[in-house]
Parts: sequence; C-alpha cells; structure tokens
Amino acid sequence: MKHFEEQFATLSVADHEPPSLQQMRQMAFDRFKEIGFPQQSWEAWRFTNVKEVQKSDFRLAAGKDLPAGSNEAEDRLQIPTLLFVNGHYQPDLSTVPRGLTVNTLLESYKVDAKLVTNGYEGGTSPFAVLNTAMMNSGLHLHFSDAFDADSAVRFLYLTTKLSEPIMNHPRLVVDVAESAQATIIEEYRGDDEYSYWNNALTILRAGRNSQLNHIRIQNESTSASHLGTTFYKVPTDGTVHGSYLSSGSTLHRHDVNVTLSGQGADVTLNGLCLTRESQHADHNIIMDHASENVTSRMLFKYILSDKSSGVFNGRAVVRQDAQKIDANQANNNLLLSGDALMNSNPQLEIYADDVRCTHGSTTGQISEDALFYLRSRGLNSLSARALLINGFANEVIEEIKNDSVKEFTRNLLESWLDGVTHG
Amino acid sequence: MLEIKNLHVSVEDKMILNGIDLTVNAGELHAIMGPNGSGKSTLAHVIAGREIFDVTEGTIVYNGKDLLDMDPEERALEGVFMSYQYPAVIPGVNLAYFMKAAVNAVRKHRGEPEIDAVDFLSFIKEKLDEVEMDEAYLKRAVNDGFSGGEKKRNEILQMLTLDPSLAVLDETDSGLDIDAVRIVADGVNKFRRDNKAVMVITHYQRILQYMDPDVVHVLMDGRIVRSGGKNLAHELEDKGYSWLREETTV
Repeated sequence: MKHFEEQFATLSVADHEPPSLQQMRQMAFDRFKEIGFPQQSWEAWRFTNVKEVQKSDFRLAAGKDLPAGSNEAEDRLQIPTLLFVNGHYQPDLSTVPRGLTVNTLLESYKVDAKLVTNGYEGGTSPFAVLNTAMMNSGLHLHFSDAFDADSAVRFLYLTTKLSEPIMNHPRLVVDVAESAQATIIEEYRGDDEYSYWNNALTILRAGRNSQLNHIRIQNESTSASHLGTTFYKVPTDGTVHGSYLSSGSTLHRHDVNVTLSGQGADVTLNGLCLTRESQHADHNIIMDHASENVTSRMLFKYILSDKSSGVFNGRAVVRQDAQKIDANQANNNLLLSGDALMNSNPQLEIYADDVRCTHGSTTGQISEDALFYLRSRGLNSLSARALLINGFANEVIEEIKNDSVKEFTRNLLESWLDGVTHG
Repeated sequence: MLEIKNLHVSVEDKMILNGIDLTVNAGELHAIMGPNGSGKSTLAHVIAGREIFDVTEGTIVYNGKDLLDMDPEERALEGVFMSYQYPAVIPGVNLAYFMKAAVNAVRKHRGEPEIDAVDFLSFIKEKLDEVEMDEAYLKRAVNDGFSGGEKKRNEILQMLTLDPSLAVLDETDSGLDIDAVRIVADGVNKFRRDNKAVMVITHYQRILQYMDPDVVHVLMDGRIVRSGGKNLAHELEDKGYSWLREETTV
C-alpha cells in the first residue's frame, strides 16, 4: 500500500485540477486504503488472485513513457480511432467522426462533475475507487443523433515500447443522446514484453430510445494485467448490445454493472474469452432489472487451454416491482486441456413474482462423437477440432455488431488456435 | 472391395464380435440383419475406424489395403463412408461450410483443385433435391435441431455428395416413417453402381423392400450365423430371430 501512496502523491495531472476534483481523488484514495486489495475470502473474488498487481511496483505512466517516432495504431481495422499510447491521448493521430463530441475528462468535469464521476469515489469495489483516485487518462464521448448508425468509432488504448513497468487508470465515459445510434469499440492492446497494468473504468449511458453497441476487445500483452469495471445505465426503450472479446493479459478481471432503469430497456451482453498457458480470466456481471418490462440476455463462452483458468459470475437481480421481465443468462465453456479450470456461477436473485428468468451453464471438452463424425467425413484431426471450436465460438461471433470486428475476431481465433494446437 | 476375416472386437474387455468373415464385392449390396445387441453397429463403427473398439484378432482388407492400419479420415478419403444411426450434432457449423470442407478434403486427396463457392452451391443443390431437402438446410448447423428423419436424409445427402466407394448404412431406416424410408432407399439406389458397394445394416426387412440386396446376412452374438438371398429377409420378418438362435445353438 505504501507504494500506492507514493504513486498517488506523484499524480501530476491533479495539479491543474479544481480543488473539488482533488478532494474527490483524495476521498477515493482514502476509501481504497480502507477497503484494501480484494481477498480471496471475499465471495466475488474467491477464484481470482490479484497479488500480481499488488506486489509489483508499477509506476504511474508519465510523459517520458511516450515513445518517440510514429505511434500509429498499425492495424487492419479500418475504423475511425481515438488513439492513446502508453496512457497519452494522441489527438493528431485520432479521427473524430461527425456526430461525436470528444472532450477530455477535465473539460467535462468542469461543465458538470457528475458527467465523469457519477459517485464512484465511495463505492465498495477497490479498483473502481482506485480508478477514481488515480484516473490519469481518458475521454468523455458524446454521440448525437447525427452519428452515422452504420459506422463505428474506436477508443484504442495501446501500450507499447515501455522502458519499465507502468500502470494506467484510464476512464472512458460514453453518453448516447436520445434516439441516437452508436457503435463504440473499446480496445486495449499491448505488444510489449514488459509487465504493465491497466485498471480501466468505463461508464456508458444510453439515452432514451437510443441504441448503443459496445464492443470491448482486451488484447493486452500476455505479460500484462488488465482489470476493468464497466457501468451501463439503460433508461426507457434504450438498447445496449455488448460483445466482449478477450485473449490477452495474464490476469484479466472485468466487473460489469448494468442497470435497466426504464420500461422497454433491453440489454444483451455476449463474451468470447480465450485463455492459454497460465492466463486467468474472470467476468463478474451484475444485471440489475430495476424496472418492469425490461429484457436482458447474457451469453459468455470461454475456451481454455493449457493450465489457464476462467471464472464466470453472472447475477441477474430482479427487483420487487420489476414485473414482466425476461432475463436469461448462459455460460458455456470448452476445455481444451485436462489442466484447464473453469468456475462458473450463474445466479438469479428474484424479488418479483411475474417474471421469466432462465440460466444455465455447461463446461466440457470437445465431443469425441462430433470429432469422430467429422474425421469420418475426411477432415483430419486438427481441422476437425478447429471446426468444432469455431462452431462453439460462432454463436458469439455472429452477434458482433460490426463486420470488421467480426472478421478480426475470426482471424484472432484462427491464429489463437494455431498457437494452441501446434504449441 | 472389402474382405473381413476372422474379426474379433471387444470394447472395455467385453467381446462384441467373435469372428466375422465377410466379403463384399464391387457392385454388390449386402444387408446385415440381426437382433439388438448382436454387434451390427459395432461392425459398422470398426469399418469406419472408431477408436474405442479394440480389434483383438482378424483383418479387414479394403481395395487391397489394410483398413485397420488407417486413420478414420484416411478411410473416408479412400472412399469408405458410414451413415450413422445417431449422427453427431455440430453446433455453430452450418451444413454448407461443413460439406464444402469435406468435399474439398476428398478433392485434395485425389489431387484435384478445391471447388469454388459458386460451383459448390449448384452441385450441393442438386444433391439436396435428390433427398428432398430444402436449400434452407445449408444455413443450418449440422444436425442441430434436426428431426430423426432430417438427420438420416442428411446422412444420405452426404453419401451422395462425397461419392464414396463403400457405403455402410447403420440402421439408417430406424425410426423413420414410410416416406422417409423410401427417400433413403431411393438415395441408396441412386448411389449404386458397378464400382460401388453398399452394406445396409438393419433390424427390419422393411427398407429392403425398396432395394435389391444381393446377399442377406444374419448377425447374432457377434457371428454371422446365416447368409442367403433376399428371401432370408422375408423369412426373418415372418419368424423373427429366435428360430435361428435355436438352430445355431443346437
């Protein structure tokens, strides 16, 4: 904890901030000290160990961490991108499409503190309060109804060419105007051998009758740790469709809190999670049905190989006055190795009586019957396995609301499988 | 084409086949009949190459090659096809994609170029017509949510599409209504040629009414206890299997 106190004291961005924001950071940091790092005795952290981030001396990213030379995204996704490199926004390398307003967190804070804070300085999640205390990069995006519904914009948080282990506490805040339609791709990527840590917090507020597609790609370096907390606020007739793809980082934990607060709100969250070697991936999702006549779906699929491990905790909460809701959640997991481990725990917490809720979970290996069936049609063992694994993932991939990302994901899975089956 | 000699097979140390001798020549259709548990399905699976069965004794020679020495996929590429009694479900993989992969695996093995998407589509549509399946099936996941009859027609579709040399049909008629039995039998009849062989494994002689078997074998307790012409099937329909059991034990 001493190390974090030292780091908190060095937070240079805070110097130019209004006193109220500095106070809020202090309050959040005090709260973090009070809560401490999660213990495995805590129910929500039973299977996930954060010693890696607790013991390492990650330094807050500074100006000197921005590598010289070109820092372009250098990838195949042809999507307007808001680029961060090692925690630094690169406006000159970023594209802001029509219908999107981009502000720094400080700019928005000065307009209205609630736009970027939303009360997360006093919560119970240690990493959310730590993000509030230390948020050192990020943006506030506002989508108006002039945004082209068929297009997308990407928030790309790249970590590259490090000279020593750093940490960042990025915050992305997204507001979607009433009746607007937007697709935001939130991508974290790293290509460095150094260990680093991103502790991200994302707030997405859909407008009434708006439609928000949120694609979240976690493709950090395999020596990194990635902790994320995502909040969704979905009001009357708001629709949110989320697709999470993850294959990076050695430790990955994603806490998701969804509030469906008005009639007609509809939320879908899908996930495809690939783990290998000693990677650990954990999704902890709370879907809070706080209004009547709302619908939600969760479908999370994990493919685990080697000695990797996964955790899925999905909790659908239906409040007492939230009648006529329809909620279902499914978690299906495929173990490619006898040493891989999955803990799955879908839960329902229902206080209303006129609801339709389903949940289910399966964890298994590739079906020998199916494998033999394909081989007896002439496919070799490797292609047959790949076909079955692709088939397993397809249900999630098909639902991705962006064709470039869909293609990207298929390629990602293909190269991931090459690594798994040959290596 | 297929020569089985003294085949002994066990699964988990339980003997299932106790010395099968069977020769199937090109152009022939053999029916293998027998009561439940006689080893009919085991025979089909051993020909296809299922690894859970242990061949403890005997040989299978297919077109001059040691079949038992080949992987399941190698057998398929060399022209051995099995139609399953319970075809596996392949979630998330649509029929078109699967069939194209299988067709191209065979073409590659034969040294032919891969078939392109347009040619494949017109080719597969022709085959769908032959088994009275709608084009919509191409977009559905293989056998996922298919009824019993749909699964069996899909097996025959695959047989006609992959065009093997030896087709082994394991109880393809079981659980089918009379129209579906006719479609399956028509498919088999379209498949038959001088250079093809068919083994129809069945519990009932019903499907044989629509086919013209050259030889009918009766399998009991892991042995072929009798072989004969088409009339043997009628005899079994009238008398059941018990009279044969009594005769063979005497």
